[in-house]
Amino acid sequence: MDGFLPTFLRREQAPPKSGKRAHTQPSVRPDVPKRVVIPLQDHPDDPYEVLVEKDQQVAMYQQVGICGSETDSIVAHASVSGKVVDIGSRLHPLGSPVISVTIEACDNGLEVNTRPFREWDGSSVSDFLRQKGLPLSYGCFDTCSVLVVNVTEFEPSFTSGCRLLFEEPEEVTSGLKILLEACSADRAVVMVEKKQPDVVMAVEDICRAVDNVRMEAVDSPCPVTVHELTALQCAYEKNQADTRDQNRMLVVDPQMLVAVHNAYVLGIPFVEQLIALSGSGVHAPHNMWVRHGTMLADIILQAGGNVSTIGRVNIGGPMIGLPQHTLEVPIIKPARGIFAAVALAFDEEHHSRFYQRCACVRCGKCVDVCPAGIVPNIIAELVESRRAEEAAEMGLFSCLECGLCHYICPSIIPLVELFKLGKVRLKGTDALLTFRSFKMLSGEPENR
Amino acid sequence: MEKPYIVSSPPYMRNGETAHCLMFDVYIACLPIALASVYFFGLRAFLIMFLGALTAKMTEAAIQIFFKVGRGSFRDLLTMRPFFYNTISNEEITVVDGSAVVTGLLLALTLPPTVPLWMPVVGSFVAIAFGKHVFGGLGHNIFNPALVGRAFLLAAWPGAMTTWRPPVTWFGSAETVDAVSTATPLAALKMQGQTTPLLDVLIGNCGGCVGETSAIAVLLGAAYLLYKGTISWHIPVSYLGTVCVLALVLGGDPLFHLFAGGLMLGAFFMATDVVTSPVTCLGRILFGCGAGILTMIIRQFGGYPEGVCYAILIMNSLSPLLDRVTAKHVKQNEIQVPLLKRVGKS
Repeated sequence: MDGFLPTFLRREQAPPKSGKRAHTQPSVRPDVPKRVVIPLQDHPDDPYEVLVEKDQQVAMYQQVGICGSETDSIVAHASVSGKVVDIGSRLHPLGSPVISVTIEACDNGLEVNTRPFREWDGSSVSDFLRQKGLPLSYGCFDTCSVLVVNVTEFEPSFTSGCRLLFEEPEEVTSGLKILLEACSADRAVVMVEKKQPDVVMAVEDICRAVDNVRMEAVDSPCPVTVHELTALQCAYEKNQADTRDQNRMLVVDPQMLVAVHNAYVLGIPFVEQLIALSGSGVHAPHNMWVRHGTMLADIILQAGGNVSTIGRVNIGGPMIGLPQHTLEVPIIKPARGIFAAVALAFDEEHHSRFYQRCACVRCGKCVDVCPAGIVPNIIAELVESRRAEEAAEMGLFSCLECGLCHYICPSIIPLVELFKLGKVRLKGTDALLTFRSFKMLSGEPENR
Repeated sequence: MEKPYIVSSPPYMRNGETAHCLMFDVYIACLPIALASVYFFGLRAFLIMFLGALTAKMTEAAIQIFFKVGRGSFRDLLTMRPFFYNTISNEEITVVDGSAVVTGLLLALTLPPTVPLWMPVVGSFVAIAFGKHVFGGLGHNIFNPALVGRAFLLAAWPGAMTTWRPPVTWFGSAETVDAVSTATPLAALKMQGQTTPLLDVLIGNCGGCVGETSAIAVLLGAAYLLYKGTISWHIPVSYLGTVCVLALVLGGDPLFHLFAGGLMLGAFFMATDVVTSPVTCLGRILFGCGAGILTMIIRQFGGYPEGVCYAILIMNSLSPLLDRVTAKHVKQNEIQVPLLKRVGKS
């Protein structure tokens, strides 16, 4: 009878913020994993270069390979010291087996000289950051005019950005300062939610420390896919030779600011990131520092989850994420969280008939809630009747794939799935924002 | 050792609302109106509402079973068992979603309390069969089915549909109510130039349809709908605001025009029918303004004293156009990020 009787209270219009505990709890730093797998590609066709050999002893922070072509490449580093046991095809979170370097961790006493920017002989900061393996949108590095830092918590329990602000405010401030000088932007805007007063206070401290930084308190959180959408918009306007360049934005998150500080000042490459763990499959939602290439199984075991009861795992959150069919995939650089749910929580087979899809009743709730300002129900109808070109004219490619329309739809229409279908039909899988935002190469977005 | 995990497109969270919940909200919102109508017009009002809702439900069930299950398989009807099984298990049979009862109930609320009891039955049948299922069922109808039923009854039996009687006096005087005929406040204003006291119009102590006399009861129900988010504020506010402004311009009493007749019921329950109103915010506001202008034109210059029904029906036919005009259009392949527009500007 679920879905039959009404609740007499108003239904939630946005996903609940269940991350109160994760918001206040300090992040944990677990043991070094026994084995890491560092992918050098996102797709089997991507160019790559291996810099190590099999059975070679490598040190932490040593370069193991170069991802991407000469013009658009970032360097992959060893996140643990140990021995290279395999260079071969391994499953990547994006779905295909790609060339990866597998390192078995052991303390071999090797060390690598990490050079900060002032000892570097290269030219630009962006080249230096590529050398240190930071997945930034380098395509809009020279054309952007505003640097936007997104500290809002869109996904439930995704508190890693807020934790970084609380735990490492100096690093965030310094990274913001460096990035603001390095890229072409003349001002920076930090987006925070009005409902999180502690974050607002932390951001106010940062705004006082850096010039040309402004805080923007927004009512509703900003989805993470907005990073990719602004990069695409940048590329579109560049290709159009459009003069509206005063609005080009480079969107980063606090994780990247900390990484910029570490690379620029200390010379440490980007090999460790703070990810948020949420869902019923882990003990409690919390944040954890993990090395790149750690297997999901190791992370979930460290987080106190029972692997045998988990029925669904995705990299990302429950709203925007990349579903995985196995735990034997490494965590990749753009990932900011893992959502693991036990099998009972989403038993779609046992829903009552009121939870089945019915015709659109045109209630307009999706239109009210859409952060992109498009009309989801009409676009979904167009995509379903194979009129994707018309859907593109209605703003299909402005869709952020944030999932709020699906969250709210009383007719249980799989709106986000239909939007993704329309995008893939028109432009291929590269047009998917969720797919792009989990790619490691973040250089110049191609012409689209 | 390794078992595959479920892979499907995110998001994995829902707020648990179904279309059935929206219909149930309307039942609850109709409760104060039903109570007020029973108080003012006696148990006959309850009978009218009951018959309207029951006929609507049964008509929808009969139509769906005939066209979705029984089509081409009358042999199943003879053997019975597969027929019942098909009826219960068929996913296309959506009669349980409760939308038919909403239609029948809203139709009954727009009938005078003196109508013969076969009229809500006929009206509900027309509303469901020709207002809804001719177009393809829930979600596909162009016109508000309840208003289609009322328009049909008004055109077919205008005499019965425009005979009113004063409210029942439960306590005190013993006059026989059936013999007395009265006019609605709007008709009295239009035909005889009489004005009704505003307080009577507000609480419903005057002649009129079953559900529309008591503006207070309608506002109570509407407050619940607005709180639950079943309807949005755009259509009622723009509709009532337009009527108010036009009443001032045309020299009437704006408060009287707001509370008299079926305007409150129409603005909060009929015009906001989710299926037949536009989905965009601007479209909804234009819809309400258009309905307000048409209502005041019919009230002031038309032959009928009340114009809410036809105003909403005319605007219903325009709502696909309003959707198309007010929806966002972009150039081919253009990408817009309105979310960050404010951030980038300053």
